[in-house]
Amino acid sequence: MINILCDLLLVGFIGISVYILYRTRNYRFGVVVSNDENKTLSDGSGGLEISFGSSRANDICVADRSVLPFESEVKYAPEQDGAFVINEVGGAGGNSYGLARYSLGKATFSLSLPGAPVFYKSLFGLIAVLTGIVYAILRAISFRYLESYPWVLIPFGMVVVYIIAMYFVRADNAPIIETAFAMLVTHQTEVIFYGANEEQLKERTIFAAVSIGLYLLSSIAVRIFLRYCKVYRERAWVFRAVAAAAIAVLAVVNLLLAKDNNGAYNWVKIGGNLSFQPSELIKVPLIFMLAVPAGEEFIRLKNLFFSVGVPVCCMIYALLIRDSGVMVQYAVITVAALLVQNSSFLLSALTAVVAVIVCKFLPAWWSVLLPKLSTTAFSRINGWLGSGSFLDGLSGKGVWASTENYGYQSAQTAAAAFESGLFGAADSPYEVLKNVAAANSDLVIGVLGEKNGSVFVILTVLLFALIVIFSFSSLKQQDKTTQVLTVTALSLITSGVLLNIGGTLGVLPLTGIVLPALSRGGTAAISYGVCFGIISSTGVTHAYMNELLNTGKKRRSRSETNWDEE
Amino acid sequence: MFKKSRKIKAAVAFLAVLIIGLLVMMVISLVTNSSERKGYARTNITRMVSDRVTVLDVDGLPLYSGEYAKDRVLREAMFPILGSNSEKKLLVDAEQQAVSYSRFFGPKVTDTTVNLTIDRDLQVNAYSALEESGFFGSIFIANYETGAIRAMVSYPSLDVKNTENEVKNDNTKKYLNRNMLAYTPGSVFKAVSAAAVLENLSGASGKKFTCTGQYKDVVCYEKTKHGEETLASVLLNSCNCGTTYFSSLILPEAIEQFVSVSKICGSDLISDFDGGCEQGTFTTKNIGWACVGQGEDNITPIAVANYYAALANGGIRRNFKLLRETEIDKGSRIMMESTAAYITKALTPLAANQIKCKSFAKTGTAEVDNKPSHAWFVCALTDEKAPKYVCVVMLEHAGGSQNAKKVACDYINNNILTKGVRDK
Repeated sequence: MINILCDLLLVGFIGISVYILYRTRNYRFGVVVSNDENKTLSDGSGGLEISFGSSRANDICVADRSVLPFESEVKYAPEQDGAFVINEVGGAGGNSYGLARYSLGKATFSLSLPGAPVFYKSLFGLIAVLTGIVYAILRAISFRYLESYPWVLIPFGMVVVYIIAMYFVRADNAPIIETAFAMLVTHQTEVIFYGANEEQLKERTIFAAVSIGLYLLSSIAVRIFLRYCKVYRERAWVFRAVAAAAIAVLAVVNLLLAKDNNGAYNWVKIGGNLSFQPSELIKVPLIFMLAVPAGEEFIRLKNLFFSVGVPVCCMIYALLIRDSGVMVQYAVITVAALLVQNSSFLLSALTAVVAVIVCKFLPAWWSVLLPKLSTTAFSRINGWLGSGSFLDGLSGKGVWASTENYGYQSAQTAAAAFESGLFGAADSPYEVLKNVAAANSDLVIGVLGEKNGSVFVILTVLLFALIVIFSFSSLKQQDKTTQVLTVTALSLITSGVLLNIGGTLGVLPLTGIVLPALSRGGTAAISYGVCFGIISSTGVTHAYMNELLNTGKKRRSRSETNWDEE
Repeated sequence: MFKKSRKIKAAVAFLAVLIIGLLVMMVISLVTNSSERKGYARTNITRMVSDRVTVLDVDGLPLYSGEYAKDRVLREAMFPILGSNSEKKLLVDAEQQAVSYSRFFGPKVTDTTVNLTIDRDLQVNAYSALEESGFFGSIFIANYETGAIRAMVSYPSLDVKNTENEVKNDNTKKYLNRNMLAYTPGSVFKAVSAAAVLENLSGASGKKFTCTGQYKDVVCYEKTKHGEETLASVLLNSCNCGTTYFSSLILPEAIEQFVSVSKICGSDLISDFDGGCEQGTFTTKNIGWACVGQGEDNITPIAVANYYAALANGGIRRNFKLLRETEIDKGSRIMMESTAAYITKALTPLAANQIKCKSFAKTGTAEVDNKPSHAWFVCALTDEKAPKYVCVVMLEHAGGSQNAKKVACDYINNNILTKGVRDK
């Protein structure tokens, strides 16, 4: 019954979130730019930062030969007394506080904020948060080991405290992304305790507390970093160089110290039973390094080094340690960052062409080159395809044609996930994945499906989709660097979800990538925790909110609109 | 050219589409692989619920209580019947019974009790008898009137609690049930040939044959000259020449047809148990030797027991059963009552001095290439005061049939004939 109740809460949470999305669909929080003729050039949906220049890639294109292609960026800075700050390319930056009108070449622009949103702080945000809290509490009180070891409440309590804290941290009091993330993380305790016996309860409780704690603390730490530590913007080059150096150190440590682990060399022992995955940690500096500093042209040698050169080295490193999943993830976030940041049509086209060529010649590539690089990856792709076509692979037929070898883990996972009833066999003492390797890391969706039912599996995927869609909505509330960071972090999470769930259920080749927020693990908790922290930080600040709701009213321009009435 | 802010939004929208795409692929996979997944899931859970299964013998004594018995002999004696997770035997069937499915809450496991027709004492003692004999082999005992199996052991057998040093493909065949493996039958087949002659040749019982130790290319054991014989004395003397002679009086096709009707080569002779029984073989290629059980024939001990049970039943063959609940097979007539009576009468003196009750029996020494012969002994107790049992002992490469006869007679005298009143 608890499972049915929890599924209903999840459905309710998703419903409330979608309703909030619907009501706020027209809200804008960015800078509104109008020209001399009172024509709105930017209605605020581009975010807090607006770029000006003669290139059409800018938010505001100025057709004037005296204006540089990427002349300047204007940013609204509520924490600096509600001023507009102009950063001129090549200039000292931030030298025009309090600017309400901005002249560039022969053109003059008026800058303002959009109208105050009526629905922004609503009861629905509170209801969503309460749903998340009740969900975590229900999960805690129905936990099978609660009676025999009450300390298992600690990880659940951490989740509840996190949700409550996020309610107050968010300026709109609607921490949908954070709550969705926390609801997912709640299930880690269940995953970590899977297959445990009575003697292991203390050890598993500590592991759950550490794993969940790392997830939550990483997400909080990165938000604090993004909010208060401006080094990654103000000294972007130094910061990127440090990030690249960190990547290099981690890669070298990995290559020198890692031992064979099922064909891959991605784990490094640091004493006792403790070990870590440098390839997971590398994702964090890589995400930050891929963000091109504000006002910079992408197609500069320095940018190309950090945004293309270093990531290519990362992919070569992933090949050397024979971790195909991580290599795919490095490639995905690099391509995502490259496509969204460059203003060169040529570079975009080139990236697209390379991607098409790779896909087009993938069969030839994996049959000739891949076996030499990684026999494991080769056998996995062949196993996924089975004897059928690409479409057969996508529909999981390859797995069911070889359940004794390649398809063993996927078949076990799919059977556990979708044949344990709609609402799962929560109280069953029989855990069918207990003796299957990587059950509580890679095959976690099977564990959760077995305990919570196939409805929960579908709702989990919807919850991930909700996080992405909500991030999309929140993107309008940030500057471009944060937007780029969000895209790369989301790419990492999405690729993790796709590769893990798709791989373990057989619709994609198995890669060994863990499922964000749900799989157990320390290193992955840090890297994915950082990603969730980045995408959670997309909301506007309290300072901006106050400005928008109070003093901002004075700044209303002719472009002001009451969005609720649209 | 796209503006940067639009590109960022497009990228996030694309990621959302990818996740929705994953959901669609999951649903397609769910629908297209539904039957495979269901089968796999059921196998998985049933492999785990052996702790909920209890197996009792005919007296309600435990043979398996959530795990194999602590007693090694019982454990090993029961393995050919119960099997393990990897052996598709009775335990797997029982585990499947223990699991039911709910669309809402998945598999539900309940305690399951399986009541067997096996007699625990007979089973354990049969295994001990084989172990003490020093030969690899099998013993099969069943009530020929009801088909209820009382003992079915194969030695050596797997000790499931001590499998660390086991090699699955070793030549001891511990994982297999020798009662279900097909062997050269030797002279125990002569009762089949004799019945085929009696069924197809009128007046066969009055015909005579003089054995000179060799008939065509067939020779008797050590070229013994049995002299003038009837079909009955041919059976009693286990005369190869006589059997070949009488068989040659009818068409090979007639023998082949009788083999088919009698199911002596059958593999489905137990109604409620599929232990992977082998199919026997019979060819008329070298009919002379085939009729004495030394051709290319291969027959399982269970099939031999089934045929001799039919003889004891007056020509009615019925399937054996292992579960108490299973109804007794109504059976079907495979030979005339007079044929069965003729053969049983002919074989009655064979073990008269060794078995302490009225019975009919047949020995068999099955020659195999470059190795000692397989030893067979089959008998059916026909005494009114004795249990109505058919018993087959087969010893692999044990040499002469006397070895099997000794094991069988000692076992019958010391266990079956001293056992209570059941099956009498």
